[in-house]
Amino acid sequence: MNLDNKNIEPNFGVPEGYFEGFEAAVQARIAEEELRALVSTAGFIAPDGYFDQLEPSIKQQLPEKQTKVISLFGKRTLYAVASVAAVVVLVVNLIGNGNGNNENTLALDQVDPQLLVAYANSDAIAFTDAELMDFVSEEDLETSLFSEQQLSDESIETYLLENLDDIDLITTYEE
Amino acid sequence: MIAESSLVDQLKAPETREAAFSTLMSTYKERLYWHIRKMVYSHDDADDVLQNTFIKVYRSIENFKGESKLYTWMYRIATNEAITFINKKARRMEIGNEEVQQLAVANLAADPYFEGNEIQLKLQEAIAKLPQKQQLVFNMKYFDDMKYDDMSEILGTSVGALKSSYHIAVKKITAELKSD
Repeated sequence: MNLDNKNIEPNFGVPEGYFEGFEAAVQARIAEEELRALVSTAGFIAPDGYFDQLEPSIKQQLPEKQTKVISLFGKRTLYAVASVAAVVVLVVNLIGNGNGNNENTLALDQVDPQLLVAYANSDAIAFTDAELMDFVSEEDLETSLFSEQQLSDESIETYLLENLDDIDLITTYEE
Repeated sequence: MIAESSLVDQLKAPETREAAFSTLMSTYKERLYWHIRKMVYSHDDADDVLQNTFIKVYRSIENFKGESKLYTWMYRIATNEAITFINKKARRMEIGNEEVQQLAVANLAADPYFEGNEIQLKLQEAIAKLPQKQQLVFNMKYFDDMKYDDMSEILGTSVGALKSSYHIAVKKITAELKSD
């Protein structure tokens, strides 16, 4: 064997910066062992049996499986229906109160349209579900139940930031 | 021990979620408890935070994309929950976060769930004087022997910075314990 040949290429590689950081790493280990010689445990203990009762305690707080409830009426549909119903009621009352001979009759064209809408949207009008059903077509129901509108993540985030006071509720655990 | 990817799949599937969650709790409850406990000091507070952590994990598991390890993801949740807990306590008491910790450490000697001797009490006092992130680094490395790569995922800090922070923390604490 020729031992004079010193041009032996190493077959192993080392991580970048390994030798540069070696001295600091050894000094850090020495410092740590010096501390461990003084104290190595924190001193905390847990109550007897704590970990055994933990799982049932947490399971009690988990959300129960709930059946999703889908309302028959979306808000937009309800307001639209209420507005239409209010106008119909007003028209019927106006016609029913006389054929223009009653001095107290209020002509429809004298009513501010905005007042009509505001009245329709107010709590002054209360319709039963049966009454509302008369004004809702099948098409309206399909539109409210199966909306094609997709909310972007940005829209959701903006809404939450503007409407939630507790920042902790906004925390999400995505990666 | 069940493979992590398999556990995640079972956690996401409604029919196996409950059983998988029990496995998850059995596997990680003690590790997470001690991690939280070293941040909040009192057992009762650690219990609250730990339960909040697991409930958040249960609710958020569908958001877990598998880009990090499940356990580093859970550690991150636990850390955030503990910090949130401390912040809320500070707001309620109208004092700073550091003061909340100082108060908790001051109560340790009388705490029935702290059996440390004088030097262990001094150790906790010294740790509480470090910046919050440095406390986390020290506790996770010194007591949990966590790998720097995992710590980096949990804390969002580079390995190099973590190593420096840990080394500085060790030196500060050693000096503190040797003083007096």
